Order: sequence, then C-alpha cells, then structure tokens
Amino acid sequence: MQEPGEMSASDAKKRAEFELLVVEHHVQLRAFVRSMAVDPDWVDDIAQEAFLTAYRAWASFDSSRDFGKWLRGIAANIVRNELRKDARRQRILHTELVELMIEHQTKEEEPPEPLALKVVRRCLGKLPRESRELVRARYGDGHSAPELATRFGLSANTVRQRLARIRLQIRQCVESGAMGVTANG
Amino acid sequence: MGDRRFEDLMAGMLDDELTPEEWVELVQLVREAPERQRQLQAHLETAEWIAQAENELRDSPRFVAATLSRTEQDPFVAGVKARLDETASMPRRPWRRRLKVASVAIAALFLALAFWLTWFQQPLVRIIELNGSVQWMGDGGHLETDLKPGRALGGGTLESLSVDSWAVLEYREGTTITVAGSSKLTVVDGPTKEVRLGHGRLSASVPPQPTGKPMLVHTPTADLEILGTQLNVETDGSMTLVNVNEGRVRVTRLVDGSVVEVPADYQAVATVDRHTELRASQRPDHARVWRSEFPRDVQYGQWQPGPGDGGELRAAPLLLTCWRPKPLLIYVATANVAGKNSPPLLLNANGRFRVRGSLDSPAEVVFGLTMHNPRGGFAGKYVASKKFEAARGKDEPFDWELPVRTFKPLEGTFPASPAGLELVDCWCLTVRENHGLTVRSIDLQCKEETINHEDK
Repeated sequence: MQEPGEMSASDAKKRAEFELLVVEHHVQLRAFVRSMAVDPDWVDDIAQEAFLTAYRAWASFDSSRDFGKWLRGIAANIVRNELRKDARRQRILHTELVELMIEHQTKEEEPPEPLALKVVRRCLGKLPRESRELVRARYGDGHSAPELATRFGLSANTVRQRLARIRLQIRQCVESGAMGVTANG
Repeated sequence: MGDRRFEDLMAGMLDDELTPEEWVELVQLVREAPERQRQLQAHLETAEWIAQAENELRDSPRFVAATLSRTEQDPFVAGVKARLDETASMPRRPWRRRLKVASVAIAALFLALAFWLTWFQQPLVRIIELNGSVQWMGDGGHLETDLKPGRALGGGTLESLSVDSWAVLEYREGTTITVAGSSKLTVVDGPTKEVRLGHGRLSASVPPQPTGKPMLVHTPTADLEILGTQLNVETDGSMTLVNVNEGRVRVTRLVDGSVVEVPADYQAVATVDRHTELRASQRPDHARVWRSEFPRDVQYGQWQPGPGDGGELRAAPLLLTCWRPKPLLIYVATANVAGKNSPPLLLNANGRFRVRGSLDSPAEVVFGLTMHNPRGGFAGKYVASKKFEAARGKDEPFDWELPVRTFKPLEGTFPASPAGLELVDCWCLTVRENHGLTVRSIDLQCKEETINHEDK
C-alpha cells in the first residue's frame, strides 16, 4: 500500500519527465520572463510558478504542441496577473512597460530553441579580460553602473555603454553557436 | 535623437536606476517604435542569460532543484483532492442530483480555499542540505527531528546540535544561510527577511536586496543590515564576530547603538563592552601555525585545571536525539580556532595536526574539522579516526599525529580534502561510552608547499 506522501509509479514518471523539461527550457523561460520587464529579483520565482502551473495542468497539455510555447503562454499570463495586483506587491519594473512588452511578446511566432548556459559561458570566455571583469562584477556580484564606475575608474555612462556593447556581442555569439547544443545547463 | 536617448534610457534601466520621469520617457519611446521593443527584449534576454551564467546562486542545478522541490504535494491540497475524488466516485442516486449544483459549489469553495492557502502560505525557506542532528521548532511549538532536504519551513527555530551537523536554508529569491556545529537560528516570518542567531555560526550568501529592504540578522549583541553580500557571523551571547567576504554590512552594537559599516575583507567584533570602539578592521593574513589555548578556545566540553599551561578540556556528553533509529550519546570536546583574536588558518596538503590528551579506557577517537572556503562561507566537515587499544589513563597521555591528507569529507559534495580551506573549529569525540577523553593541546603546523626539483 502506498504510504501518505509516497509517490506512485506514474507520479514518479511524470516527475522525471517534468524534470527533463525544466532542464531543457528553464534558461530561455527565465530570459522570456525577464524580457517582459519583470523585476530581476523575481524572475526565478515567476519562472518556477510557470513550471508548477504546467506541472499541475499536465493532463490538459496536448503533446503534439510545442511545450516551450505553452510554457511561455503560462508565464505571460502570470506576468499579466501582476498588473492587477496592488503596486506594492507587483513583481515587475513598470506597469506600462510590462503591458507593452507582453503585447510585443505575444506577437512573436515561434519560441527560440532551448539554450544551454555552457554556450553563454563559452561566449563570455571569449571576451577581453577587462570586459570579462566588468561582466563578472555586474552580473556575478550585482554592482550597479555607478559602483562599477568608481571601481574601474570610468564614468557611469561609459560603464553602461560598455555593458550594452558586451550584451550585443554575447547575443551575437550565442545565436551563432547555440545551434546543435543540448540544453543541459 | 530618439534612438540615442532610447539606448541611454535602456542602459540606465538595465544597469542603473531610472527616475519616474525617465521611466515615462522610456515607455513613450518604446511605444513609438516596435523596433525598440525588439531591441529592449534582446537586451533584457541577454542580460538574463549572462546573469544565470555568472551568478552561481542562479545556476541551472540550483534552479532545477528549487523548481522540483516546489512540485511536492501540499498535504492540505492532497487531502482536499482526495476527499473530492472520493465524493466523485460515489454511486449517484436520484435525490443527489438535486444537490449537484451545491456539490460543485462546495468543491469550488474547497479548491479556492486550497489555492488561497497554498498561495498565501508559500514557504519562507526550504532546507536544501542537511546532515547530523538538526531539529526544527515551528511557530506552534512542535518539535521536528526527522527533517529532510526539500522540507519547506515557515517561521520558527532551527537548531544544529552536534559538532558534525549542518543545515543549509534557502529563501525563494536565492539567499542561502548555512548553520553548522552547535547553532540556533530563528527564521522570522514577517515582511522583511530576518533571522536571529541565538548562538553559534552562520554563513550567508545574500543576493542584492531590494532598495530600502536589507536582510536583517540579529544576534544577542548586534544587529546586522545586509544589502547583498557573503558573510560569516559567529556569536556566543556576549560577543558577535562579523567577517564580510563580499559586499558591505552595517553592524549596530546593541549595548550603545554605535554603528559601523564593514566592507569586504574586513571584520568587526560587537561585544557588550561599551568602552571599546566598534570598528571595522582588515582581516588578518592567513596563519599557518596554531596552538590551542584553553580556556580561551573552549567551544564545548569541560575545562579543568591540569598538567598543561592552560589546563585541559574534558569531553562532555551530548545526546543526539535526532539520530536514527535511536538517540546517540557522544562525548565531545570542541576547540574554536577562528575566534575574534585569531587570524584565519589556511590548511595545506603538508599540514599536520598533533593532538595530545588521554583516555581512561580503550576507544576509537574521532578527530574532526569544520572548514570554510578561503574568504568565503561554509565549505565542509572532515574527519579522521584512530583506535587507541591500550587504556593509558592520565599518567600516560597519547600523542596523536594527523597529517591533513588523512582527513576524509563527511559528505561527497565537499571538496575531497580540507587542504586549501580555512579551519574554523576542530573536535575530538568518542561514541556511546564515556572513555574519559581529555584534550591537553592541539597543534597545527602547515609548512609552505614547495616544489621538489629533484623529483622532476
């Protein structure tokens, strides 16, 4: 007999399949959530909610459809719901910007291919040393542009411009190298 | 002009802060041209990829584990669902049809209640790693000793009871707190992220916190405000030692309200003495030699005057009630190494411990180490052991040499060797019986690692 809290074989199978999908889709789903102007501190939370909603609604998912697209639809709905919340409890950066970005995102036809973080890391590894340090301080340590300006002896504006250029370089590199790499993180 | 201004505002949004007027301007520029939406989307997505790749608190394994841990069935929801399934499978009788609408309404009410409860009772923290004797007392005062990784917790008190125990808690946004050894941590359920360290040690990795909402750590002698950092805190009730490895922490000494900002690589000690200045001082360089000094370094055990200069430390009983299948009694003596007066000790592969002490009867003695990453948080626990066959008594003390190489990690996830890590404390113990284990001194020598050219 199954003990309370013990998983049945079908539950275990469902969970194992679900784990593979989380591994495959989480990088791009989190990027999608962020791209709707969600507060960066809440991106993971909202992405997890999207996965959980998908997990609970598993039975209603038509397996002939694209799982990534379904997941993005769920995430967009969660972010849409944020707009109805009291401003203090919203997990987004700016209401009107989120409205615009959701509208834009839902017009997108196909979701991108799953992405592995190792592709991103490989591209980061190709950056010159100073750019690499700047990226690490910004994204690894969480320093803002004015803090980095003091640390690197630059103006805050220069730091922001350099980070913007680096993002473009990384995007170009990822888009040219992501093909054929499995999304195992 | 529009695009240049748009790029400036977009960069400001991504790497700085925008004023309310700048937000309005950015939204207007985005609204004007769909191409700008695509540009903004690309920068936001790429920033997110990089953040995931660079911030170890957000890497793939951690995110996947956290997501899976949230799929665990909530017992309340499972209970309600089971009742509803039961009701649905009952044979229908004609008179019941009249109640169909009412049943559906009740079911909807149950589901709404379940949803409300799961939504608003989302856990504050989860246990993501656990070892040894760790217990939890929730708000209702119920004591739980059978904790497992993945367990969701609300407000309450976590106690790590033994020298070889530790637990790692994780908040939903990624903050992790590790308590190790004998430590008591209360997680406060409230609008701010807040914990109280009653005694013992914690290591915290705190990602940047929302502006104006620092994480708060309270100890018996100090209040700490943390905006995003890696730090280690230790308190014994009369003093609090704060070591900051990354970021910046504001420390308020409770006895007089004096405040100091502690930057990375600095430390501060907040005691109950109002006459000394509360200040941040640079962490001293690593030492490679250490000798215990009792009673200064006593962390657990009974100090007593004895033959050595500083007396001796006798192992004291400790009942591990969380041990399965039944509680385990150990006799343990623990020496604090990384105290407020000591420089951090970095072990290397050439290092050797020398433990002098005595036993009243033959026993296996376990010698263990608690390690931190250099200028970082909790790294692991390591042990070595030896059987002392002859009962020697106090007149014939033992002299035990332990090369650093002989220590093994207590958990497979820890680095294979303590070499290269900072020593926090060390302990000696015997299991079940009192063999009169007494420690007179512990010495550590770590010679510089040199390359022997003749071996090449």
